[in-house]
Amino acid sequence: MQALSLERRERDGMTLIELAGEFDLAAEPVFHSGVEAALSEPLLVLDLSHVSFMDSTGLRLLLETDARVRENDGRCVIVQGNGSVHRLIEQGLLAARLEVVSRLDDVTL
Amino acid sequence: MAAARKSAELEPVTGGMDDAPFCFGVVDAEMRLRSANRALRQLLGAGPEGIALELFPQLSPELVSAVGRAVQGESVCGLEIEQAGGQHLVDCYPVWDAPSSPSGAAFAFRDITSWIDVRRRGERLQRVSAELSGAARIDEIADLVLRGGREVLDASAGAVALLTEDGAQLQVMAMVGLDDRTRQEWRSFPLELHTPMGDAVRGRAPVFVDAGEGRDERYADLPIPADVASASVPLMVADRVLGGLSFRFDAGRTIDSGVRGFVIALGNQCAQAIDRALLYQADAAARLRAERLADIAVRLAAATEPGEVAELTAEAGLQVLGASASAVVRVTGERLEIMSSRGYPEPALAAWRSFDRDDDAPLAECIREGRPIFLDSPAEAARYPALAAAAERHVAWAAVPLIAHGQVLGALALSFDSATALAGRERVAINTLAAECAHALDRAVLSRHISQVNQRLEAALEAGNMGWWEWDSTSGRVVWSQNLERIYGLEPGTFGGTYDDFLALVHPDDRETVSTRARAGLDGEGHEAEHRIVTPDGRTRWIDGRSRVDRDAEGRSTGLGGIAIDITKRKLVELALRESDARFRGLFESGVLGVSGGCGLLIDEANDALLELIGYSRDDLGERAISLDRLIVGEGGGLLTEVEWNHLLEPGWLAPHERQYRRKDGSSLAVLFAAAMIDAPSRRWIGYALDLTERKRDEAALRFLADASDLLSESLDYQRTLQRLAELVVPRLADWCIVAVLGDDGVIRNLAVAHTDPQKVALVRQLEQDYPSDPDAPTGAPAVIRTGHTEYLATIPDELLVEVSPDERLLGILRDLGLRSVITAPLTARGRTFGALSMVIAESGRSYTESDVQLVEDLAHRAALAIDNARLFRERSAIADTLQASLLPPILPKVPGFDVAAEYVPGGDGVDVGGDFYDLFSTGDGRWAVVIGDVCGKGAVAATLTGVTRHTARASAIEDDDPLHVLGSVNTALLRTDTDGQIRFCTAVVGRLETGSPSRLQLARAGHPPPLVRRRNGTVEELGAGGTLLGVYSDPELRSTTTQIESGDVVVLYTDGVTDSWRDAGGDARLVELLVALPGESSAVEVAQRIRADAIRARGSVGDDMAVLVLRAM
Repeated sequence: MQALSLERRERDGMTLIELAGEFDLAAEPVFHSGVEAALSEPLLVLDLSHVSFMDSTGLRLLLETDARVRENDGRCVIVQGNGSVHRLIEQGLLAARLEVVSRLDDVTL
Repeated sequence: MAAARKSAELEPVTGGMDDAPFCFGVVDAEMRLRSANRALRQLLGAGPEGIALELFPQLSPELVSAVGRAVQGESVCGLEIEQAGGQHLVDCYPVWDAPSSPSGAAFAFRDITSWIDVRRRGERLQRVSAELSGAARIDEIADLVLRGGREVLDASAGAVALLTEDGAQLQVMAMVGLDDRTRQEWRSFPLELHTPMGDAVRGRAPVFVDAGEGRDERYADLPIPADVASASVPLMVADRVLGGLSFRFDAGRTIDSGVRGFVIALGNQCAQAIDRALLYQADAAARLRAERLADIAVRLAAATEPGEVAELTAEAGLQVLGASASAVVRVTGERLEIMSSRGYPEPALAAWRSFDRDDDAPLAECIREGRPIFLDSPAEAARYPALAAAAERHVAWAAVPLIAHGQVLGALALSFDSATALAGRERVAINTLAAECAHALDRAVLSRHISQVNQRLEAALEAGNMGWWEWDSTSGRVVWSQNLERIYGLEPGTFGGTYDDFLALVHPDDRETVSTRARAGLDGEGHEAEHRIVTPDGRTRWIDGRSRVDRDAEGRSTGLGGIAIDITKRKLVELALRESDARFRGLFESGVLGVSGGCGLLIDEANDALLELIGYSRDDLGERAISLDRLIVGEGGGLLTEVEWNHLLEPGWLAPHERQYRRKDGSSLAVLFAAAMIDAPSRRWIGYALDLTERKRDEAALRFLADASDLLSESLDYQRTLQRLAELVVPRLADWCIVAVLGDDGVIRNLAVAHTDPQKVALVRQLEQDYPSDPDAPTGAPAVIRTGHTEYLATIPDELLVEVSPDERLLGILRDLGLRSVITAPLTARGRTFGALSMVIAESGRSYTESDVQLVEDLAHRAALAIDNARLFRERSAIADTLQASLLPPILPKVPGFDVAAEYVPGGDGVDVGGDFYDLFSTGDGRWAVVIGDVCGKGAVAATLTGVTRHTARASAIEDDDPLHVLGSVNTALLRTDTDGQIRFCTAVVGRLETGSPSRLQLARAGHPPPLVRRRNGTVEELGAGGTLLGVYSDPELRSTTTQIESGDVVVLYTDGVTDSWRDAGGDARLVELLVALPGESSAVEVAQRIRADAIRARGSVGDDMAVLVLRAM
């Protein structure tokens, strides 16, 4: 099992947080501490294309993050990659509710 | 002709229409009435034919105009008009004799006033039932029913009442339209009283009372006016009567069949909703208590002081179990001591303080017999005279022993105001609390003990420890560490264990001083004393004893605990330095100490012991090559500090302190160094050094044990912990470390294997497979497990390898491993040896000594306790499983034509309740609802949401089993559930199965992984289409699909806990593979178990919950 790691960087007018590893219950504290400071950014991009596994806890954290960024009048974009993140988003028809893109290059400013 | 026709009677209508239950007539092109059926003739009165339709006052202008349009060639159907004081439904259509224009028109109408009433009631009933499905509280339901019913029926008043638990009273839940006085008087009334509602409930049938003359005389005594009519129905679900529903009507109303039907239907709706609410309340109460118990268990587990455990437990007795008084007592010797109590008056507590184990009281008895005592009534309590006084205050009692590790530590006493408090599941809850309390108490006592011991060990370390002891002044018992016996020159285990035994060992001249100081220390904070002892072989040794006082919870001193240091060597040196040169010389050459003499920084003489320590020869000394600054490595790497030199010059001596010696070959050595100035002006001094290598190793071992203890207490997953422990041992203390455990099946397995080289670990794992351990083997782990005794081989002889190897291959491997020295210690807890810890030295080439045996035994002992604790923890987690099971259907129903099975595995550490659930139930007419779902999260909130989801799914499916309707209802219910502002969602699949040949399965998914169907021909298909998960958005997008299920098809519904188990082994694809590979005739149970087993194998002991529901068409 590979623990979740987060890396934050500022680039082209967006705050990009890249997540890698397994995004599940065990990752909740790491995720919170890494994302908390970015919730009031105008454009927060969560790049999950290197997440090897996500379960319903990960999905709940995504929904919460999205809701909180919106409360602050920001945008939250999720780069879903094509693994289990993509599958969960597809199963829950969340592409219509969240701003989801397939690749980082597809994020529009 | 025309005149004759005018005077002719109106013609009857032919073709069966004449007797029709509605009015029917025909007009000619000029709108003159030409024929009429009997109903129309009766309405209009017998009259001549040919009268213009508009001349009949009974017919409304709207009707005439509609007929007029029909004469023009237009059909008018389904027109509703007001006419003759009622609502009428009208149909008109043209009559064609020739294709050009109509020759007239036919018309029909009927009074539908009563239909509209019925329709209005039906609509209202539907609305009420929709509202009821959203109501969870009984008063809310009653209110909805009364408001809805009153509006439709135009009733003056209404009431809903429920039977009390004993069935003797009707208790009113809601009333409308009654004045305050009546409301007060009729809040509840005996069922026996003759009332319409009471009779309906008793007779299990509706009671309708008409107003006025025909009124039933039975109710003449009731304060109800004579012109009041009433309708009362029992509230029944299946054959259970819950209560009754009544409406009252004013001013001479009679109760027609429409009203009757409506009240009965409304009663059914109301009964079902109340039943659901009652079930939900009961469930919610049980769940709440289970949650609180789980919460208490967590807080108990965290409590570190016995007093805190007792406080928590006593408080939980009131808050969680609903007792009105509670107490926790502990056994001290033959007496009982109250640790904490709530709600008992002081006289009762005072009586308990003087309790005796042999008393004839429930508390004493439960402790004596080790089993709980429940007394449901004062009558039962009568056999205990001790309870006579208490019977005035309470009606039920529980006394439950606190048992941990088979030992009765004390008891929990609870007293209740209500006898129902001791029903079956309450008893389970009480026992659970007592068990949690006992284990927590045990742990707290143990942890206090361990922390005391650790404190002392640390104190000993700081002081340059040699041994520790404890003296319990009340019992006179003295406990010694093993090395203290060594110091006193006793064989291990031969110390007598009392204070007098200790005093007998003290030098006769010092006994009085020691005794006086120890007694004084007991009254103060502890003691310090230097004294002599005489060993059994007659030698005198010097001991430095120091102690701290031990206190109980009230701060009373209970004894002393401290350390004893062997200071004989120091004393000898002091003596030697003080006494004659001859004795000094004797000591100089004795070899106990390294002794040196010198001038300034130079060493000019040294004894053999010192030379050996520092690795120099006497010749080196002759060249005056050794100076202190070369030998002694100070803190900064320098020589003696100026301060130390001054110290040596002025008082003439330097107290012993730890130093590093640098040996000739450059290696360093820990020593205790002291020096004394013989002649200050010539700067001549003498120094001595004591080798600390041995002691340093002891210190390292103690530190290691402390590390190991931390590790063992970290986690309850003992398999993982043991592996980490083994890895901690290697390479510090061993080249190999193996922990073997005896399974329930009698097979010995290696739970942990560690070596620095993973390939060697793999080799041992392979050997374990190829050469299974023989439980009767004469040596090694099996022998240690059998006998419970440690096995220690300083060197492993080759003959032993030959003896244990059944073939040349194994012998070759064992020889190649180069095993040299081994210690195998038993894992023993609660008197049972269930495993062995082995440490082996191979390539590193050392050998174990006797002193290592103690360390390995100590480590094995701690590991055994950790394993035992983990096992106890597993037992506790069974409680959580039970709780989860209460959220699942206990037994799946029999579905005709189908073979069904389900599997559920709780996740995580097994203590939290997870969110997976499934359900299968009939919705009538060969239709079945299939539900599986997963509520995000764990613990209390998840359990609540799981409950909401399951109950809503059931209720809404019975109302309408369309999966889209069910999912929509669940979504709404979840959105309304309070989740503390957190996002909590649920994914689910709901299906409607219509059995037949073939059967049809209509499915809708909400964010849930797709169910699979394995067709008879072996192909596997996914079912359903993606849908929005539930509980987050108010407008979920959901679609349903329908598939045919034929004989031999297997439908599998599952939660993501199953596929996530295979996250590293194919995930979803793995499930498909598994279904493809199924043997053709597998039963549903076999399929479900196969999936469960495969998933558990992949995920190990830790994972999410998982649920599988399998339906196979036969």
